[in-house]
Order: sequence, then C-alpha cells, then structure tokens
Amino acid sequence: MYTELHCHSYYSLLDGASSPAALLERAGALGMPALALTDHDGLIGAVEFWRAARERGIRPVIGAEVTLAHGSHLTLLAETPAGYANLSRLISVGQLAGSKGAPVLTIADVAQHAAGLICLSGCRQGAVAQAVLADDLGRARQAAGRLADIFGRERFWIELQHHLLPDDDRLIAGLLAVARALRVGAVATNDVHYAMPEGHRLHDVLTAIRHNVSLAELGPRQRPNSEFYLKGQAAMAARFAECPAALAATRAIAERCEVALDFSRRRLPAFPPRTDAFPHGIPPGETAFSYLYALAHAGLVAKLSPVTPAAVKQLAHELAVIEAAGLADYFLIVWDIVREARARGIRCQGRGSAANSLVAYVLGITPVDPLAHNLLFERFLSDRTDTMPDIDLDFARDRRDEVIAYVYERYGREHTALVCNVVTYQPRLALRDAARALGYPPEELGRIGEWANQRMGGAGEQGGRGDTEYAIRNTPSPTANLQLLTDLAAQLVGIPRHLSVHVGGMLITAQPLVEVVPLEHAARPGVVVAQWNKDSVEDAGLIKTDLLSLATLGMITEAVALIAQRHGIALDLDALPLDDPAVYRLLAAGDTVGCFQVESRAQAAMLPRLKPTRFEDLIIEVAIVRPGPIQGGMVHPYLRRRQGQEPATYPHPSLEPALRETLGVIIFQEQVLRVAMALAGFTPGEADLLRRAMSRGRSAEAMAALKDRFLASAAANGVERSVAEAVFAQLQGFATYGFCKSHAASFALIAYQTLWLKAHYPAEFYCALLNHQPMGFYSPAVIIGDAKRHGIPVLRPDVNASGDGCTLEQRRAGAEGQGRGGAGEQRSRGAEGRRRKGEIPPHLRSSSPPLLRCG
Amino acid sequence: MTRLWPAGNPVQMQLDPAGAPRAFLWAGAWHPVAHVASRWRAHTGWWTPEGAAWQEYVKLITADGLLCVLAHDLQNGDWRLVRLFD
Repeated sequence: MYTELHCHSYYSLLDGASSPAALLERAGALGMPALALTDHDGLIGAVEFWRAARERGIRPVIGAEVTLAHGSHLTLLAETPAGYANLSRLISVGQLAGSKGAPVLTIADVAQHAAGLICLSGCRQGAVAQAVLADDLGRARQAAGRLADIFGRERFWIELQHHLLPDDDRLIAGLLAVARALRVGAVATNDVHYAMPEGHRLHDVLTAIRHNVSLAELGPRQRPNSEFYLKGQAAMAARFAECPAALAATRAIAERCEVALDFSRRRLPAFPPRTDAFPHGIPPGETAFSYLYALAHAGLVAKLSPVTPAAVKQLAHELAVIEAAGLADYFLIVWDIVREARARGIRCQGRGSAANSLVAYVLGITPVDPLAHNLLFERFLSDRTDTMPDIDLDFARDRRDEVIAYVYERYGREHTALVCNVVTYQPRLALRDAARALGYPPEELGRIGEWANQRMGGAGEQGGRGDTEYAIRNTPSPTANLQLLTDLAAQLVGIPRHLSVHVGGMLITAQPLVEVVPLEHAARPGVVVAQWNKDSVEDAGLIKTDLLSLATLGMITEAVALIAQRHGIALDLDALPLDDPAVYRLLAAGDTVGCFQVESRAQAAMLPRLKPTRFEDLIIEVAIVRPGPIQGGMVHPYLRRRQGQEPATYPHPSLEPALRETLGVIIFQEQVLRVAMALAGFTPGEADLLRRAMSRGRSAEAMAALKDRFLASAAANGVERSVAEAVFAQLQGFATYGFCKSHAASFALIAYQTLWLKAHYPAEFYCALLNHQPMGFYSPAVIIGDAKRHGIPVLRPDVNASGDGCTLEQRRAGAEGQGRGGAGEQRSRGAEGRRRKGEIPPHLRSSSPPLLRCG
Repeated sequence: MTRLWPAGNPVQMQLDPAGAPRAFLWAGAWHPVAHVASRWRAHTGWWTPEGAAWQEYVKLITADGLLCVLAHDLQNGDWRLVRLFD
C-alpha cells in the first residue's frame, strides 16, 4: 500500500493549500496507513498533524523539505527522537542563518545533523534531479553520492516523482540510472501540495500571492497541471508500473519512523544554583523542592499571620501536588522573574488560574488570597500529571521588555524563545488578495477593500467563517467572475499567511529549545520566535509563561510615585483593606472613568444595578459584564436574583455550596469544576479535563465520551438523568463564556486599587492616567472632562515647559481662593520624566487641589 | 517538417479497455498506434473567462511510421491531433 512521504500542508506558507486535517482525511479515505508531513523549512504544523494522525489511527511521519544554498531542496524524515532533535536543530540553523522568510542551509550543516534522519533526494528542485534534467549524469551521481556518504545507504533514497510533466519520463530514467550506479534504493513520492485534485486552484492562487503577481502573470512559476494531490495506491501504481519496488519502499520507510511529539517529561530547565552572580539560586545542599518549600513557608508566615490550620493544610496539599508533578523548578522560575521585576521597581502580578494557588500567593506571584476568596487550586493544577499549569504575569507596560530581556539572560538563548502566533487570512485581506490574483486592476482592489471595510467592519476581522463567507458572497462588484472571486476569497479565509510573535508568551526548556521546536527570526530585529503557537506548545507538553504588559500597572506606579513626592507617603497598594466605602461609593454611582476593568459603558451601566458592596461583588462584576457572559445568558439571571426579582434556585441541592456565592447561576470556571465534582463525583483532575474539553472545542467524539461518563456518574450519585443532562448542557454553554474566578479576582484587585486612587488622590490619579495613554476605554478629552468634574482644575499645556507628559502644579500657599496660577509655582514631574525638581517644601503644600497641566 | 494545429484536428478514437489510444481516424484513414512514447498533462487557465484548459497529450508512433501528438480534453473527452512530425 503506497504511503506518501513528501507532503505539504498549508503550513508551507503560501504554497500548500490543505490543512493537516484535510490531508489526513484524504489519507484515511485512501486507506493509507501512514502519512508524512514535510513542510518547507519548518515544523509549524507538526504537533497538530501528529495528534490528528494518531486520533485517526494513521502513523504520522514527521519531516521537512529543507532549502539549501542555491535554492535546492532536500526531503528529510525523522526516524528516531534523536533524528527529530537534529531536524529541529537543522531547520533552526537554516532559519537563523538566513533572513526572515529566506532560510539557507549548507550541505555541511546537513552533514552535521544527519544522525537519526532519513534523506530522500528531493523533488525536481533537488540537486540530483536538477543535474539529471541538465543532462549531466556525472554531476547527478556526484550530488547523490555525497548524500549517500552523509546518510549511509540504509538512510538515503533517490526520490522519484511523476506528475505527467513532459520530461518526467526522462527524469525518472536518469534518476534510476543514478540509483543503480550508487547501489541505493529509489522511492516514489508525489510532492503533494493539496489533498484533493480541485485544490490545485487554491494552490495556484497561493503561488500567485507568494510571487505578488496575478495568475495570468505567473507563467512557468505555475505548476503546469493538477497532479500534485494526495494519490493512493492505484493512481501511483499507474505512474510507477515499471518500478513497483519504488512504491513498496514507501511503506518500509514509513514503518521505520517513530517519533513522539510529547515533551512533557523534559519540561523546564532546572532552576539555577546559588552563585555569587546569582544570589537567589538554590542554596547548596537544597533541591528545587526543598528551596520552594522553605520560601513558601516563609511567605505563609509573612502574608497570613496568624497562620490558620486550614492554610497550613492547603499549603501542604499544594506543595505535595507540585512535588509529584515535578514543577518545583517552574514555580521557582516564575518566583524569580517576579522578584527581579520588583527589585527593578517594575510593578507586576500574576493573573489567570494561577491565582487559585496558595503557593503562588505566598511566593508573591499572585496578589489575592485564595482562601479568603474561596478559590479552587484544582482549576490551576490538579493531581493529574498530564495537565500543564499556566502562570501568566502582567507587568507595567513601559517596562515589560526589560523583563523579557532578563529571562533571555537568565536562561540563555538556547533555552528561551517567544511563542508564535499563526496569522491566518481574514476576510478583508482574503478578498483583496484573491482579487489581485484574478487580475483585478488596482482601482478595483481599492473599491473592493473599501466595500469590505464598510460591509464587514469588525466582522471582517473576527467574524465567524459563516458570517464572513456570507459577507464576501454579497460583494456588489459589476465585473465578471464575481462567483470565482468570492469562492476563492472564502477558501483563503483561515489559511495561514505568516507567523507573528505571540504577545509575551515565552518558552523556557530544559534541553536546548532548538531540539524541541525550530526557531526563526521574527519581523522585529533581534527577536527570535519558536515555530509553534500556544496550542501546539500546550499539546506538546511544554510550559509557556505569558509575560504580558498592562498599561494600568505603569499608571499605578506613576501615581504612587507622585503621591510619594507630593505627600511624602509611601503607599503599599497591595496591602489595602478591601472594604473602603469610598471605593464602593464610586462603583455604585458608576463613576469609574479611568478605573481598570470597570470603566466601560457596559460596566458603568451595570454597576448602579449590581451595586457592589464587597470585594466579592467586584470580582463578579469584573467577570460577568462582558459580551461573552452576557451572550451566554448568565448576567441577567444573576442580576434578577441579586435584585430580588427571582429566588436563587439550584439545579440540584448538591450544587448549592458551589453556586451559593453567585445565587445559583454558573459564572466561574471554578464552578464548572465544583459542579462536576458535586453532581457526578468527578475528581478535581477529571473535572478540569471536562472544563478544558468544553472550552477548547475538542472533537465531537471526545465530548460524547465525557458526557456519557458524566451522566453515568451522576446517575450513580442518585441524580435524575434529566437533571444531569440539563446541568451538562448548562456547563457546556457556560464553559466558553465562563470566567476564571481567580483571574477576575486578580483583575478586581487592580480595579480596586485604581478606584481607591481615584477616590483619595484624584490629582495624581488623573495625571498618571493621562501620562500612560493610550490605554483604557476613553480618550484623553473624556478623562480631562472627568477630572474637572472631580474638582481638579486642568490647565492647557505651557509652551515654555520642557519635556512632555502631564504634571501637577501646586498653587502657591496663600493663593487659595484667589484663582489659579501665579508665579513661583513649583513643579513635580511624574516618574516618567525622571527629572525631580525636589519635593515641595511643607510651607508650600496646599490643601487645595493641585492643578493638572497637560503635556 | 512539423505540422502544428494549435486548435487541433478532431479525430475519432479507438481506445483500449484502459482508455489508452489504439488507433485514430484522420484524413480518411485509420492509423493504428504502434508505440506510446510519452504522455503529459497540462491544466491551466481555469481563472479565465474561457475557462480551464485541461488536456492530456499523448506522443505516439503509428504503425505506418507517423510521429504525432494527440490531445485529449479531460473535461469534455474530445481527442484532437495537434502535431505531426515528419
């Protein structure tokens, strides 16, 4: 049975036309037992392909088609894990040696990384084929001989392809002669660029886009026919009737290739030991875990005195899970990043599910006490060792890049990279590029783009495929071939165009990262990115840490600095009691312009109705006033229950403890876990698996299996089937929209801090807010209006002032009540300006509000 | 000398069970195929108003020593003689 060993997916960017799934679907239909993926100079789709193949019972062969100097191609397949490591390294070498989008390798590079790889001599762009086509069999034998020497005769084959091109017969005859002369085997492949024959059209369009010309202008750059689809035994036998051994070899080679893309056993680097250069490392005689243990207990005493038995018990439980999962190093790594940032005066805090962890809290990584806020550790890390924790950190926006640089420095370029984002075609650009390919003149392109902008608006960028296809199909263009344009544009939507850098996602690995995933240049100079996106990273068992930037943290930093300067007070906002009535007054009035997470119009409208009076209410407010939960139908039921318009009811009595805090409405992802645990007796680990399956949209089969398990367990718990089914449906509905409570809590804390600043130090609040624009929901004009309404006079910029940014000016003491301004003003600069003119002497400090001068 | 008919001369075909040319009728005579030298396919122009041109070309030698190229339209099934070498 013929097995395809040379196959491109759409991760051969602007070349391959089919997804890995479509290729595997076709392979399955053909009864093909194995399939190789050999994208150009990359392994972008390798994890996706590997998983999908195994789900279908097809053996995945991981490989790549690499580009050598002078543009010649070579096909490489990973035979063993060592071969995979070499392949990844080799691709990285080529990518990093070339410029972005133009990787280049030498044959010496290939020779250095040949162990564990199987080499096929390549398509007609291979050196051997090129020589045969040029009628230089001597050179062909030489090129092939070199490869045979590098790989050995057991790992090198002459690659034969027959696409019914005029010179294919001659080429194959020549290649077979070379194979005979060198006593190496010959193997047949089809250089697949699309799954089905019709795919040749999309492939031609992608080729035109890649060359930036119209289809009519492609000329010989277009593949002459439509034979480059995934063919099975019958079609290939017709081409290779004369050499059946070349077909049999495909199966034999595929069966030798065994690679597992599961790196969960070698996750993170060891946290470094203590040295003079790194005094925060693991002390001599300690292990990562013992060090973590000591730090956690010290943190517990520091943060939670008096320490309760519940806290001690929870800490012990979490540490046990961390030890069992081998994650002590990971926690230390994150602790160290936060420690270093704070040492440099960079405000930061953890977000996301990590805030469910007491260990994270006592280490100072996350800002909220999970015990005080009824959070659930298992939402973050469960006793199942195959789940990956995800600690994401927010840093002051203006200084986040310093933190990224620190991580590269601490762990080395070989072990650190940013995760990529695969940018796919959105409808607007799909329409424009399809039109260009079809030869529409530039004026037309402009018009089509304009129309697309108006018609599709936001949907043009984010709309679901169905909406956008509908929009595209309704393009009102008078020119001919409209149907073709809309069909092609619709086919382009969702196809990868290029890789960009994921915002702040960093990979840190134990073994050199280049052996796990290839690295390539990002568009920004000096930045190197891994070829996997966050889904692939997670599926491969690697841990990614998001180092994100939040302008609000920078704004808070400046406000605190201004307050210190002007009032001589050093504020510790993280230690504020969370029950200041002034904060809740602002919230109840919807007076929240400039305040993190609670300032949007939707929020301002909802706040007077929800009337938060405690921090828990603020957490809920942050979680639910968003399009998702509103669409998901949780907001209005909650609102009605809170306002007493309907009673709090529970789908089943056992769910009351879990849902009491939200009046019976499922709002938080943690509640999805608690419900599964209470109703169906799931362990925390199983419950989290359920939640993930629901939110990541796993296959229908996977969901059906989980549902059966849920219903069976619920039944065993004595729950009526109809109730269990209803609850499962609710969970499914809420799983996508449900917010992670710990994440809401972390954000609610920042919200509280900004509200507190606005309530107590409005001048500094507005000054810092304006200095950190653009950020938030409102324009500077609106913020200035809000400042005035709060009694902060605002002055126009002073043309004589040096530097930019807003500043606060103090009225001269004694000038109160006599109008503004006057000579002898003292100025204080915000932290950004870094030019302090000294503190205001006490006799000049005034109790009247300072003036805000715009920059 | 080569005679070339870009539009092709329609010819009637006798095919074998596998669909390969056995003989073709041209200029009043049947020409049995002695040997198929090569075959190739071209598929292009699908974006043009005229539509796709999807042809399989067969270069063959007849029993009476003619070297010629037949084009088989893969969309409508027509066969045409497009080239005759002397």
